[in-house]
Amino acid sequence: MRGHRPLVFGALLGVAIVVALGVATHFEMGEHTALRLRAAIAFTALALSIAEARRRRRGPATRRATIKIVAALLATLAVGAYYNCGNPVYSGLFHRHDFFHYFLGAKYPSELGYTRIYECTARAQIALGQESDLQYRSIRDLENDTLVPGPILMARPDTCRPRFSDERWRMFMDDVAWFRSTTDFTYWAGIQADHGYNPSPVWTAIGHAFASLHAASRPFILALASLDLLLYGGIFGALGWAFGWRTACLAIVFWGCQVPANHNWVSGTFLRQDWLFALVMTVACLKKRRFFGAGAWLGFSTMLRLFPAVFVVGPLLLIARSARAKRRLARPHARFLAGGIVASLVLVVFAAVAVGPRAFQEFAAHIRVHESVPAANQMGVPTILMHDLDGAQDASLDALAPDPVAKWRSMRVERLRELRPVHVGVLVGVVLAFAFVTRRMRRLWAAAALSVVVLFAALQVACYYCAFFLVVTPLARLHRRVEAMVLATAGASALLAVMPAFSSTPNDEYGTQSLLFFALSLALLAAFWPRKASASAAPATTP
Amino acid sequence: MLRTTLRESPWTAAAAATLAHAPTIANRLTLDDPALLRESTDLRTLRGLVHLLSTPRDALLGEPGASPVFRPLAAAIDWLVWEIGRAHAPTLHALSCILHAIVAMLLARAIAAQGVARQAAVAAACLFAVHPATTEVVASASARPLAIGAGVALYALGSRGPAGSAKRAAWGAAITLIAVLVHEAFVFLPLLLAMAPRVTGEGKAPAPAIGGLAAVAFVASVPAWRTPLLGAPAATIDAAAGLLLRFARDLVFPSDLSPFVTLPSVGAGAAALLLLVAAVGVGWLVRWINGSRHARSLALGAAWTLGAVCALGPAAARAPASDRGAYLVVVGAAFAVAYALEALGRRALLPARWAPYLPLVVAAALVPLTWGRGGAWRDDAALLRAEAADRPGDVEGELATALLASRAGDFAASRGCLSYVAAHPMAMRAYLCAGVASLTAGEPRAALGFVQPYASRYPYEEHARRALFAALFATGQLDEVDAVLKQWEPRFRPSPELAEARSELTRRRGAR
Repeated sequence: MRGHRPLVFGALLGVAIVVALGVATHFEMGEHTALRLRAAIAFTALALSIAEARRRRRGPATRRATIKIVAALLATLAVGAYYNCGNPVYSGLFHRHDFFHYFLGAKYPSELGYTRIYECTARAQIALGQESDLQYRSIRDLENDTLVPGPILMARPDTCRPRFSDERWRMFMDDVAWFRSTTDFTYWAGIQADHGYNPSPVWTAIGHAFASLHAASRPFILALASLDLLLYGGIFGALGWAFGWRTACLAIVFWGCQVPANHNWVSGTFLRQDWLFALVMTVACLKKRRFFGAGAWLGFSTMLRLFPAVFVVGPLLLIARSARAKRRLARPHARFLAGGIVASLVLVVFAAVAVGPRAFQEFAAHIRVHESVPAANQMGVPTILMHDLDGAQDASLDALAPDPVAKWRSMRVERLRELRPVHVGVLVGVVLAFAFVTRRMRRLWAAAALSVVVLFAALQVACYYCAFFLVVTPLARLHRRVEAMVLATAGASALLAVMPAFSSTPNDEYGTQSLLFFALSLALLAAFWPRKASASAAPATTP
Repeated sequence: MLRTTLRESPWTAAAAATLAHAPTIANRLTLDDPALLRESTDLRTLRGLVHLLSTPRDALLGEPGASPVFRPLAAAIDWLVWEIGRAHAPTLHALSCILHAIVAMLLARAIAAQGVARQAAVAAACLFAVHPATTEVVASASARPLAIGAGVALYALGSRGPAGSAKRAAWGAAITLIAVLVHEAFVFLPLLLAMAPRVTGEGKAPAPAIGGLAAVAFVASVPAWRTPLLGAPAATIDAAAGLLLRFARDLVFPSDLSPFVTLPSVGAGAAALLLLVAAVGVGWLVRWINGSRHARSLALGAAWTLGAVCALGPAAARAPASDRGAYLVVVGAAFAVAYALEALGRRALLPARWAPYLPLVVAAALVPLTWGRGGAWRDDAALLRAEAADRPGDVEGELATALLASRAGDFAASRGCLSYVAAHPMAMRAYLCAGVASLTAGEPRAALGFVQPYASRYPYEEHARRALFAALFATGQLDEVDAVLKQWEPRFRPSPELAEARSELTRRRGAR
């Protein structure tokens, strides 16, 4: 039976998703009601977890079968709640906004690069006879990440058409025409004012392979969108495989109830969970002592989204300490490092061959511009510091200006610049605390999972990347309090999103959510803080 | 076996509470609920929370001569409830119902903690749960602080508290402070904590530290009152005695419960004597049954009742009282009833087979009465009809009749409001009716004196806005009309009376 555990768990998860989606499509409910439901699920799970722990301490423990049934039920409900209980923000089961960028950007990488997606789309619309679309809207100029009125951008020399062959231009026009036909004007204008196509060349190479299979059409886009469902299955399956059903259910409840990485942002999208899958596989492989694979998965995740590189901080600290004590690199550690290096090299070569070596240069230049511009939906300690309490930033929004958020953005950048010493101080404090906490840690997977604390203190990332907090759920196996912390955070994040006092503007919403998740980070550090210095405790030597 | 378990489980009391009060979930928001819980802009922001935490409750309502009652924790709970659930009437009423069920469970636990048999404790808690006198606290969302405070107090009485007398004293002071910041009436809690054996230590005299608890808690609660607790001592004693008589009557004849009760005065001397007799009577009663551990429950109930009426006395001395305060007296009575039930069982006054079912039969008989009271709270009009029908000869009943007549457009019959306002100038609920009656009688200046404060407190009522415009036009205050329109147009557009007032203003200014 034990050997069939992954299969049984996979089947249960499949049933859970099918049931939840079935329920979801029948009971369409308002977004706030769904958020309240999420909070209720998370807090119910929290209450049951506390009750079960108390019962175990005081008397006969609850039967495992009962716990499993309740956990599966809560996980099923959480899956339904994640999908807003059948009330998608977008119609048609795929995320047009996201697909526009990721599909076109991946399918035409050499023509669009990282800076021409909106301009080339506008040129294609002119060729399609849709000039009127451009008259009254702004388009983002991705060279400097500013909004420019459509006619002004179109008055510049055409740098798009010469990059396309005739056949590729026709294909591009067809794809643009299809995307335009699926959206109304307002939504389309919003797409053209976003921040462009930002994935790494490695993701572009993989996305290119999929996107080039067919022209944009509803069945094909839905097929691509379903890849993420498989990845979600893989994520929770991997957690079940490495850490058991309870961790997997905890992760599902957390994922289904938290707000930052919610359905509205990344459901129905194109390969947006690959980095998360790779990250979870890193932790899972470390637990299963498959060190080369773990390193390779971490290398893969990093090559896809860059920031997962921070998850190597914890393992590196342990490896360095072990190497210093033994005066040599332990074999598992060497395999972990080798896996990361080999995978990264292979992926770089693969991407260079698939989309051209210049893609890396362009990506580096583009991402520098992109990172210099704050967005309302970012999260991290820098976001907390950027947030003003007097409402001046929100008051600076000017809907009539060509770029309504230009002043808001400059105020945020200025505030962060002023508070840079504070940020550095917080980061140094967190890193020192992290180093102290991992001093007595022996497990590479736990150190990798706990690295989330450093990542959140160092960087600000788009809210939907905060799904990386999923990797802390296995820590509940080491410390039961983590289970309560994770569930409480998920429930509180849903409640805060309902409360107008904390969510009436994106500024408030993601500032508050950042604060909440930073509190979770600190609570994790506190949970693993060494209680008593034991003279017999050896330094970390075994993974 | 199962029946015994049910009779001993506090969940039975919770189920009884839910059964008796569930119909109120369909009610609308009545009386102060819309002003405090639906229309208050303070509930929508963090700054609003700060304002709520620093402002007396009646000042929030714009009450003239606002009482200094200050309930920051209750206000914070209101804020939290609105932020999460908004002012959805069924949600608010369901919350009150759940809260009452929790109070019933805690009551059963607290009675049992005094050494009373669990069956008797649960039966007494069931009687409390379904008693019609608890209806107002459940049916009126803004009466929630009484239930929350009772829950906190009962939780304390049912708990052991930390070990060590100093820690217990600190714990008791903290609990009292929480209860008092929820509702000022719970200043009597230290007295009860000092009497509760679980808190003071089984079989021991109250620890000296507990003796000082009352003083500590009382001092700590001073910020909650903002002004000295007691007004004129004679009036306060009179009001406390009036409340005691009134609530004792409510317990036995809960047929004309009302949110507004003008207490008959018994005179300060008679009142003091009455309270003294009540206290001495309880003392003698306790002494008579002394030697039996069960007397604790009776003594605690009596202390709770006397403490509650004395704590509510100052408020009752200022303005018309409310039968919602009877909620606390029913709690006190439940402690005594538990003692009586156990005594009945012990002395075999009833056949052993019947005794356990007697309270349940009485509780079941009370449920339809409670449903009836709950129905009276369906909306403001139903409440007025109930008041008018239940108290025809009473001044509050006459006011209800006048308000109903005003609502029906029979302004001649609504002049009773004027006499009521003359007797109770602080009671704003009669202002609109009085203002409209004055307008009809051709006294626009007098009408403005009533309508203006009413409309600034309840601007969301269309009738209030109409009446104010009518009074302002009638007195020729066109600039004031303009100012009011500028204030209300962004909030209440597209209400027809605003458009009418704007066009009338333009016409009159043009005519000038």
